[in-house]
Amino acid sequence: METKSEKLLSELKKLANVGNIEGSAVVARNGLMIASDLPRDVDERRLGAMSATMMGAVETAAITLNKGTIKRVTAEIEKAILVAMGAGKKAILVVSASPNANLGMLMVEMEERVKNIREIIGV
Amino acid sequence: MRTGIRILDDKIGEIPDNVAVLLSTSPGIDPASFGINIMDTALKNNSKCVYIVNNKPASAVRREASTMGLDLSRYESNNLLYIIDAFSGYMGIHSDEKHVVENPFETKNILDEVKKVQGDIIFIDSASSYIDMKEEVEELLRMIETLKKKMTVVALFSAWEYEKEIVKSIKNNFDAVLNIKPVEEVTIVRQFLFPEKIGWKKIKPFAVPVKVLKPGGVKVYFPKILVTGPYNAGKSSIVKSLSNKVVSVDRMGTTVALDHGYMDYKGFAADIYGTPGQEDFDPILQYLADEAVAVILVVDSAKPETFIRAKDMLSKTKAYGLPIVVAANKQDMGNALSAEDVKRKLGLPGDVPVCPTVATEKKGVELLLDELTERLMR
Repeated sequence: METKSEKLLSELKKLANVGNIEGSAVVARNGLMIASDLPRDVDERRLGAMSATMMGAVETAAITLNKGTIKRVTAEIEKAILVAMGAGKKAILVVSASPNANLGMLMVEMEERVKNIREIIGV
Repeated sequence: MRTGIRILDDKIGEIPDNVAVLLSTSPGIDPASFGINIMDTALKNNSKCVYIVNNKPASAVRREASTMGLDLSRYESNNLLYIIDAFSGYMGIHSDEKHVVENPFETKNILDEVKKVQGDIIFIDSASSYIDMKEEVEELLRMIETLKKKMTVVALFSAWEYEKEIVKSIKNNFDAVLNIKPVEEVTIVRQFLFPEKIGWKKIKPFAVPVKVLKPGGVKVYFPKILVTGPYNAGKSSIVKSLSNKVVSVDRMGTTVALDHGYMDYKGFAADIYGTPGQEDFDPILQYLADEAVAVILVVDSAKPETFIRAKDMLSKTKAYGLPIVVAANKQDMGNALSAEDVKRKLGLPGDVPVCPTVATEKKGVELLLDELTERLMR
């Protein structure tokens, strides 16, 4: 039987087949790494902690603005685009793509994966 | 010999010579990483090792070691380690290895190859693959009996769904059985080492949280230790002084998001999360604090008026119930309260240690770490 982590990893592997995606991870909203498919030189535990912090901070800003919940957080970095999307109550999906990635396609793919990830995690 | 895994070594003591240890891991956890790490510890303590591999090329063992940051080549070139390839012969492929069992289907051939080399400890990677190849268990047990007369045996075992009787007879034939299993927590899956049987010592059941860090090797690992406390108490300095590497998200010296550090101390490894102290950031405190395994509360010993906020942060981070240690920081300030006074003023439970520190000078940090790790071991 496939374990939860294996199932999550196979969801992330599907993302790896999408052009311009360089790495992805399922991170707990508390910052702990649940599953990752990242380049070897990336400090995954730190990326997890910081992605969760970023998500938490934006969520707090959204609540302060009184404008509803967040759909995703996109950070445009010099050599990458970093996107974080909620995946249920407990987790977020984080994707790093090259700057020339098609954002629309990326979002569609991420939303597809998020559906499955939510099911696997169960909350 | 010792395993090099803290807590485990403390509790089971020295592994005697000529015993057989079974290292059994649940499917999905590679026992080789643990075997290689134990071997590396043995090599560092000047034991000679033999590593028989029958389920992957010998090069895969070296590669796994190198991802863990361990270099086996110098031991191999000094004849302190012999890796015996019992895989190529099984697969019918050519091998460039120095030590090869051409026909590993015959146990005698394996034993003959072992006789050609010398060692104090022999690792079998893996016993489960051996059983799969022979489709029976008796021959493995006989082989281990033979090897045990000459050296200590560490057999690696992937606990696939073997029949209960088979597992029972294997375990009966080993002096010690160590199980490594995944334990699903709130969100993450941690790995724990459970000693099931220790033939040379009476032990109470215990579990050791472990993780294979790449690089870093097998460590007793805690995924989140929280450092919290009021504004300007010196939390970032504490995180920095505890950590081997650290990153801080700060503006003008104040943490606005999170300090993240990684600590490696006397065989304990942990990721450290340092929270901001200002109340404006309290909404994200709950995320950062969730699922922490221990808390370090940092207070400015010269500002007792901030202690109420300190206790408030402990409840906001749901720290009560977790191991807590307090850093009575900024002891270099002229008006700093002594650790005893800080303790009294904070009014925390009596068993919570309060350590005097000057984080910017790394003073008192070792005592703090000792108190923390001592509590994590309980």
